[in-house]
Amino acid sequence: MDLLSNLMAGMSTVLTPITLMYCFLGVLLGTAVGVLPGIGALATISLLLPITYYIPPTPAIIMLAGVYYGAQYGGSTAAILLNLPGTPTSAVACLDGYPMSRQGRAGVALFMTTIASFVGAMFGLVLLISFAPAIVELALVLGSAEYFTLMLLGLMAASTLASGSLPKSLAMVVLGLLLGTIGTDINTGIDRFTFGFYSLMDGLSIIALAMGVFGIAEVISNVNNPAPTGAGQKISLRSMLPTRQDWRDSAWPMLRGSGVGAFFGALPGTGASISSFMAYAFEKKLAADPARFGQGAIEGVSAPEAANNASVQTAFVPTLTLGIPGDVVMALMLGALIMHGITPGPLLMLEQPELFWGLIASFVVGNIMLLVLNIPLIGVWVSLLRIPYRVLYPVILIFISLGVYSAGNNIFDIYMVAVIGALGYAMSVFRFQPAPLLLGFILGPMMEESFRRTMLLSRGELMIFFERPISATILTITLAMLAWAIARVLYGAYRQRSVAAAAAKDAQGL
Amino acid sequence: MSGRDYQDVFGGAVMASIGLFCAIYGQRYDFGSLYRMGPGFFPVVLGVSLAALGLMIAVPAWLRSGTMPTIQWRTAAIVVGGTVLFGIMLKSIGMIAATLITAFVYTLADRNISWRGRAAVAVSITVITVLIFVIGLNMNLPLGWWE
Repeated sequence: MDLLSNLMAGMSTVLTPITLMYCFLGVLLGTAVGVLPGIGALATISLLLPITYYIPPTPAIIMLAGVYYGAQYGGSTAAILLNLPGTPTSAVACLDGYPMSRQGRAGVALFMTTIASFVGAMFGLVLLISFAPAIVELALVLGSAEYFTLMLLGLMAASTLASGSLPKSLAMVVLGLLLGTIGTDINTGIDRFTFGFYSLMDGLSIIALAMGVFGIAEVISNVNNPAPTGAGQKISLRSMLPTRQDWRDSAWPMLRGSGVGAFFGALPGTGASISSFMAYAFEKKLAADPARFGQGAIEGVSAPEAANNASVQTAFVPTLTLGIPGDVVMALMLGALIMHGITPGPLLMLEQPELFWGLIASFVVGNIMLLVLNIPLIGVWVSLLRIPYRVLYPVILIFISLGVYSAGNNIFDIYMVAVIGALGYAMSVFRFQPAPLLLGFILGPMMEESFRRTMLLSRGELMIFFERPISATILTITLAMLAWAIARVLYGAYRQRSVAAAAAKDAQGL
Repeated sequence: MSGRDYQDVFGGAVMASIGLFCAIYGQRYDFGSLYRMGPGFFPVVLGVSLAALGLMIAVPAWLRSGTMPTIQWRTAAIVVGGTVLFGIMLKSIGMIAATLITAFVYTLADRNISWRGRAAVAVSITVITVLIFVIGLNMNLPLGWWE
């Protein structure tokens, strides 16, 4: 079979000492930064990006990917033990993981999250392998109109599914798109919004933007939070063993979570965080007794954990087949590919089969490594949590500065990250979500380009988006999503008003 | 609780002004037409949309009650200022001294740490940073002012 031989070829790429070492390094680092609150896959990958100059492309990408999915394994550890998400995606794990830990079942929760992570990852991987080749074939017939509507769908999904107010997340998307226009316009060579800064001609550095809004802003909000308790726990292997009931309660939620995660992962624009929230909400709706959720229900841990790992795998689908990154981490991954002279897109699989199948095979190897790292060695990761934040945050800040500097050898980027950090903090104070902003920033230039090209082809006729069947379908889904989100907002306002009116009536009656 | 949801009033107003600024500043670039879009097309369209969204955030917020956000001015100033300081010092006095001073400045953000603790954190961070970035990663940076 063709697929099998491709996979075997991929395996032979991975199973060389050098590649294995980078794969291991990636998942190890990933777990470590996943466990540590305040530093995540994003910052780590940005820091590693400049280093990958010195590594051949395949091991480099394998390592970066390892950090990404490794962090998903580690992220739930702090959530369960300290009620503090190690990565934004594991925030959901706090809801039932922490209550489990308070009931003395932290070991079981940690064990289950690892198993769920593995199941989710494998599920996502199978889908990735089976769908990627088909999507590549499809991608070859997609034109600029389809690319544009697909990215529009991604942005719409990111802003309507994100938590918080709809106009605020839409505003973040638009602001991100605007930030994406900074720099030299590729079609005309005119500098836009550079304000005379030479360093802005290449555009705003994505690393500076990501580290500013996620890194610096996060540190400012966290520094004077009271130290969490519970880090001193010892987790014995015996305490990790789930009961038969735990297995029974988790089996279906894991599979359902994987399905939910795989779907949202593959959709450009929605990633691991949204998947885990969706999986949690889904389980709660399905449950015979929803009141158990939030009290330490094991399916509240296993379903979202399976979901975020599945989504991380399927997130590679749009990235590798279409060259459209679904989230910021994927955008950095694309950056790494481009740095090595590899153009991501439908031709990647055909032109770089070694890289493509090697990466896929490395997911299998890496996830098995993570299983070993996270079950017998869980004690090591737990003790990592004893490092107090007051020691950690200055390190994070210094690394951020050195990281942005080393990416471009430019002091200007350090100032940039400081300014963006201040703005990012202001955004978090006013409760604006940073994720849609970054997505808009990443997709902006690509969207402008594909929109321009479409308009040139259609001679300025906007109807072209509805005349091409694939683009019309995607656009319809996008509009339906917007309509649904608006309806939800209006319904919410209506209900609130009627509740308020009822309350006012009651007050009058008294 | 206060009379209006100032969090969103301010947030929306800021967004609206950024949008307005981009739309006006974008006038200096050629707008073109849908058929042949100029470099100004995207920024102006986006700027107008952002201004509209900003109003959609601010106006309803003006009509409802909300809470005032708390801002950690001190922490923000130390973290942002420290980072700018690091940028200024990195090339002039070298990485070792810059890291030491900046790390010390950063520790000021935490109120619950002794002066001795601050010094210890700053020194160990400098050692770790030099080990990782200079020895481990072989990064090309001046170590001190003598280089």
